[in-house]
Amino acid sequence: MRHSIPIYWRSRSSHYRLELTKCRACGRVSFFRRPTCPYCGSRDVEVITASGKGRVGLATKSFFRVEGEEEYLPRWVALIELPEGAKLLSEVVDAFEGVSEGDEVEAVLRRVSSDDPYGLIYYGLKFTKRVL
Amino acid sequence: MAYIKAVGLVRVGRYFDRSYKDLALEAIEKALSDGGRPGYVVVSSMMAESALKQLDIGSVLTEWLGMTPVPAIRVEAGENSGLAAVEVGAAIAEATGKEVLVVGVEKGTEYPTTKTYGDYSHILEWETETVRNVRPPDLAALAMEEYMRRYGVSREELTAWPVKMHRNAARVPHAQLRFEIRADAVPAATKISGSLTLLDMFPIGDGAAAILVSKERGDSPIQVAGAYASTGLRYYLRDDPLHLAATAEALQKALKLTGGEQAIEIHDSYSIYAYLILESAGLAPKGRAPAEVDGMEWVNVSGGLKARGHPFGATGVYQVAELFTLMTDGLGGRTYTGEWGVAHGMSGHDGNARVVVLRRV
Repeated sequence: MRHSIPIYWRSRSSHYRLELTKCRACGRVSFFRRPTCPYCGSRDVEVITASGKGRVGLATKSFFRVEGEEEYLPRWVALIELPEGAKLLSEVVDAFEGVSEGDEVEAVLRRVSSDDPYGLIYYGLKFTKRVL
Repeated sequence: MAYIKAVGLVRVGRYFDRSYKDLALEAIEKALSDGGRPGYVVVSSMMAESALKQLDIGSVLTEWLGMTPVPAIRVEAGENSGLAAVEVGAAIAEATGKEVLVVGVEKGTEYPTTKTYGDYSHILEWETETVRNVRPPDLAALAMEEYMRRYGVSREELTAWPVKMHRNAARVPHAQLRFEIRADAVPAATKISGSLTLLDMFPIGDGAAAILVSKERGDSPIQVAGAYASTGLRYYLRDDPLHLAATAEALQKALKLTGGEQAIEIHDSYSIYAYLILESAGLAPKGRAPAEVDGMEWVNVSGGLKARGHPFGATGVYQVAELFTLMTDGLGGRTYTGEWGVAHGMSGHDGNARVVVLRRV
């Protein structure tokens, strides 16, 4: 079994919702729920939930083969810029015609990995092109 | 200050018939062939848990060497483990007066490459990157794309580095990939991520390197004159992913010491990183490194991670041993007669950067 229930469960709020950490000291926003601002080191932070909307900065079509994930290749991996001011790296799924800088995207809950064939499944956020 | 008394290198390669113990022993025997008696052993391995199935690798090696009860520890800092072990080893030598044997060892070929790639991907942060299926070459590919756009550099111009590395490695006996490549083969090679191909990337291999460090100079010609380290933010937190801030901080301190005249080994896990390291350290103007690397005579004489190879936790020890060799007996038919040698390592996209400076005494 590769997957752990406690490890993933502890951070479920950031895996299932797009959570960001906003620093009250320096004002900067960073991806994921954090106790400390990575930019200024302040502990005076609040966790906010992002709208889920974003824009593709740059994207790469990845063929890097990792054990157990071959069937998902190729993947589109993109730097996503959020209107809340943070950036994150994420897969962009259902991108049959490719992913380009400037594409409008939104967060969707998808399977990120599993203990195939009968084990645990990790679900998390990916992005897909926004049509509405 | 500590001094390097001796070094030992094993050719980087695929040793299906040899264990990590066999490789480590070969490197150690070479390093101790002049009769050195280490009083401490520092081991570096990035993949000990995943590939070697061995914790406390230090006591296993002292036993197999017949060196029990000499104390031993393992040092790990991702891809930067090797130089971290040199830094720790030199500090122990200075603090205790003991001769310290620093050993880097790795077996990248014990499992299929897809498993090794998966284990290697854990150099990124698990919660925000690895579990989200973001892999190290994806970061390099994004940086490469950004670089080409910002500076108007073509994919073809970015082939200068791997061509140079293979040319260098062809002359180095212990290099993994001892053959030259044509520039047009680089973009045509197997795709890894985006425009980045297999010929922009280090090969998977096994290796071991050892150095003997001492507080007493004896007849040693080379001193460990400094070690500088820094950490950097994750790729997605950076305002400018093309500026390797941790590398810049560590390397600029080293270059202040050397005055900019040195033989240098840099952590070119992907071609684009070679250019970014040189530019972030101020050794090339922004956007100009691809055009200038051909004229850089004393950069990665070994062939670098690209062609000498990258046995993860051993790589930094290789770099230091190679600089020692380059400054003494010569490496690949070339001898550096200058005063300074600089070894640079980093883990992932500049997450953990470290520089060890050697000085001729």
